[in-house]
Amino acid sequence: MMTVLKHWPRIFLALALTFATLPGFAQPGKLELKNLDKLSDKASEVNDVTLDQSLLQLASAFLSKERDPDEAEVKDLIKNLKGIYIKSFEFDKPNQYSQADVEGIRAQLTGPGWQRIVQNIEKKSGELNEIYLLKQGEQVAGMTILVAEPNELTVVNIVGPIDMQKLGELSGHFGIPDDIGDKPKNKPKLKQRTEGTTSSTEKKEARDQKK
Amino acid sequence: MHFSEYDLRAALKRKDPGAGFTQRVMARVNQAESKAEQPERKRTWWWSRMWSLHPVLAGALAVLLVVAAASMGFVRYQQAAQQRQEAQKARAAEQQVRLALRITNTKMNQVLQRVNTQPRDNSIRRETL
Amino acid sequence: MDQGRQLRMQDALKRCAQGDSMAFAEIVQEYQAMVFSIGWHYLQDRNLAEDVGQEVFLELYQKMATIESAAHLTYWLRRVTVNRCIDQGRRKKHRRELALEDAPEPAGREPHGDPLLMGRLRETVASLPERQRMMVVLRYQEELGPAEIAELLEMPVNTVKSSLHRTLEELRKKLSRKLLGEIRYALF
Repeated sequence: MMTVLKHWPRIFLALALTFATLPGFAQPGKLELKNLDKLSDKASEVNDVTLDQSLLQLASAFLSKERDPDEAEVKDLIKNLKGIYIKSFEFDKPNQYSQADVEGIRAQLTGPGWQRIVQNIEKKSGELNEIYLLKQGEQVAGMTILVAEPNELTVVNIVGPIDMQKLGELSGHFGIPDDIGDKPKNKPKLKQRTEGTTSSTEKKEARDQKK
Repeated sequence: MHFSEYDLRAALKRKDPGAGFTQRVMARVNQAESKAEQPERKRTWWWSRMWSLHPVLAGALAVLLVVAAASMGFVRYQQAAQQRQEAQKARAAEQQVRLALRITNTKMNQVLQRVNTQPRDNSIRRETL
Repeated sequence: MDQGRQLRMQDALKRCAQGDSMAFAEIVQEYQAMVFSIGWHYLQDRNLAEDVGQEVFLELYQKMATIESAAHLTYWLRRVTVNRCIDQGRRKKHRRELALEDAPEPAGREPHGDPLLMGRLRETVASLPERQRMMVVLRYQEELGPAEIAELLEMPVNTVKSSLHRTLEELRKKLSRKLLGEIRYALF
């Protein structure tokens, strides 16, 4: 008894960590994407977005129905979402990520509730494109888009009920491009950072300067 | 999706507005004509009437209004400064939302277009449920 | 304008100048499809198209004295309709969905081919930016050439030509996007 009382803080911490990693306690639909962070160093362009529920609500409060009908549509789209998490990497050369990186993501999408609804594999170019939905009964509770191409790896993970039709209709509005077609081969490099982290392009430039 | 200029012409063929359009136009024309015959009433604003009747009262009221407006203005200025700060935070979050939706929309369309345009052959497996 | 029609309108204009209101009604009947259709194809809203049409003819009635000939009448009506449609379109907030009461006229049998394609084309034209939309309507509904369109829209002719070419490309892309939307609808 005395031993337990003496070590109770450690016991409590161990129990808390154990429960926190159990599937039922993690946010359902949220994927673990941290293992992809190592790709930032090799990428020429990184888009890393972490929007949890509080940030989404803050953004939603800023959007005005009166100012712009597009903002009203977006407000409606994000109002019930719990999170948007995106990791997108573009590389100058192919094969900068491993199959294990991709399988690490796909393994999480075999969990209960996840259904793959679209898959496109092109063996010649080694492209894999997939869309998964997380269903709770008849309701959509999340979505994941996986784009794995020789020079690109993108994972889009949306947690919460997302209206796919409304999302698609945003093309050409709210600053979302209108064009449908293949990506231009020579896009200007873009620096997009998350809050508090440095983009890979800036890290590269810092390393080059030191040399 | 393919269409010809002939298709466009057919789609944009003239349509008749239907029965009664001419009558409705003539009714409006007649209405406009009868309105044009009525004289226009001159409007007097209430403050000009008040000024002419009670100049001292009107002056005192004007001063009161100015003082009230000035004090309200100061309070609002302080509120606005606070709101500006909040708005800055929200704007930053909104920018992130724009980026997120742009990427999501682009990638979703990219995947769907690949599914739609890839030829069916042995090297491609398309699975839609 | 064919000669018979031109003569009829010339005669109606003369009688209008003498105060014959029946003559004005004939003019309205002759041009109502043109005016209404420009409004309808541009605004995709029956009520607004009718409002625009009525206002155009009301203005015509007030300015009949300035109309010199049948050709001038046609030009005048197109010009005023185009301007009013563009104004009305700016006032009307951006809409991407048609309300039920604004659904297209029951056209009966489409005179040409695929009714689905016709409907999609009309919707896609209605989603174009205002100048491009009006150019397409004037080109394919009114069968006007670039010079006539340029005069109505007060733009250089070469701009109209290149813009029409780009607009057709954009229409094709937009239709593709519609198709993608239908795939999304089927999937989700």
